[in-house]
Amino acid sequence: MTSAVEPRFYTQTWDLSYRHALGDTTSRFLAGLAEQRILGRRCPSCERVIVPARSFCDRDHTATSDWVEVATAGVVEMFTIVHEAFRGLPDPPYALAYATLDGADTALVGYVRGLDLTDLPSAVASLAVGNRVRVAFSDTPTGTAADYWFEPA
Amino acid sequence: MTRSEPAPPRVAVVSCVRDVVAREEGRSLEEMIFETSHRALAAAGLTAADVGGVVLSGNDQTDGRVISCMTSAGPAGGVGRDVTMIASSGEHALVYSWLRLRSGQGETVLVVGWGKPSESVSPEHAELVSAEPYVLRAVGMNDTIAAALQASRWAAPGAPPAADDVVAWPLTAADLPARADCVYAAVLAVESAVPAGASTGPAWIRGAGWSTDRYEPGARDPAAQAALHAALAHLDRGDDPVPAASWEAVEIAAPSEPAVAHAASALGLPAGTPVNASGSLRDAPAPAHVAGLARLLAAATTVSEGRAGVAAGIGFNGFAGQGATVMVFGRDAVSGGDAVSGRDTVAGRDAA
Repeated sequence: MTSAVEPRFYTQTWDLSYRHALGDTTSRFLAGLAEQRILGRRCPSCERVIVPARSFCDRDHTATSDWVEVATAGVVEMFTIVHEAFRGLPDPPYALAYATLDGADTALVGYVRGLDLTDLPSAVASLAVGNRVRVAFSDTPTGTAADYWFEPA
Repeated sequence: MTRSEPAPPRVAVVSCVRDVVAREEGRSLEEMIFETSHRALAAAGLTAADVGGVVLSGNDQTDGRVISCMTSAGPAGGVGRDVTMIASSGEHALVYSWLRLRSGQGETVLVVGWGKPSESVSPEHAELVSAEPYVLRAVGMNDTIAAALQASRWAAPGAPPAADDVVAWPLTAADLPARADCVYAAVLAVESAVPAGASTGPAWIRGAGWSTDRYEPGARDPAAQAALHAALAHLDRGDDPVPAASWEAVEIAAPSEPAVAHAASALGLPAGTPVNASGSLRDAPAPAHVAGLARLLAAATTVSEGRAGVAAGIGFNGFAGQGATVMVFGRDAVSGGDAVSGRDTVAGRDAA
């Protein structure tokens, strides 16, 4: 007969690395950020301009056809101000929003800077759905979606 | 010449058990799967040798396993029979099992869905891998943030910010699902194989619908919950549609309480219809992957315990409810009732 033992655990950390192929369309979209341009692709079926640029329209299952440069300002579609710390994300508080840029038909995700997030009511009012924001770009682009963010317009 | 096709067999949930522990540190995941599967089979008066097939569902990224059906087939009783694992969401395992039996592939199926987030040092960190690796992952997204973005679409203009316990405005901790270590297991059987030795009676699956919307929250309106409406339309196209107006209880797994409320309000339920009587998202904890399965089976239990003649379960999956599944259960196998009814033998099972 064996006696009870305390639970034991085996803590493991896997350091797996991946090298994702972005494809031509996303590569061009990210390259455009370094030029302070937001690029979308038009669906020939529904004629929507999809931002960020995608090589296909998942609504119509159709290959997109044309490049379209959209404006660097638009309206907030949804937002949040995060107060809880999540591993792998910025230290809170921070704001995240989806905004439909002028000339686009889908919303782009990005962090929102230029807000006093310690004043929650004011920050919420500034980011209300329908309010305008503009895109700001990094002076030191990394070739990723971290190269832009939103600011209140 | 048109050949007359036999009607698909009617299918029922004949046993349903769960094992829910806030943080299970005394048993491995495989031990939990074994115990819960064994209990589900026993409640149906069956052993693993009697089951025609096993359908599994787990979220390997948070459980720290890969293609975990390889290690879970044994504890689920799947050795020597066909085992399928459904990665999309736990409720899809129930749907797949139902379809499997409706199509004539066997007479019984054991469904097992699980999540053991306590084994992840940071489940939210693991969730980041759910973001596509091209644009969204560089920004970062997890279920909580996606739920808050969706809920902001419903926040009234000028609404006061949440109190000090805000997690991600406009959501507080009370609005968000709680996690727990969970295993859910159910046995499904066709009408001719409903086991005589079952300790529980059947909850007949009256129909199901499911749908998936676009992945990117920015390419859809998450507030519209279009996947739910598409799933309901799918349900209505079934051979025995049961409109929401006739549901007597509903169980909904959603990214947040506002999402539950909006889904419920869109159904057109009769006034006073219980919604989530088994508990709020906070009070009935489940990791997102298995939350839908949990609510579908809670609806089945509502019927099998005689608390409703017809009950529905709804589960959302994906960021901000990209996908939705609806399954309707009835005390009677068909509209109006007929010779097939488990009313006299119904009893619930709950190991939580």
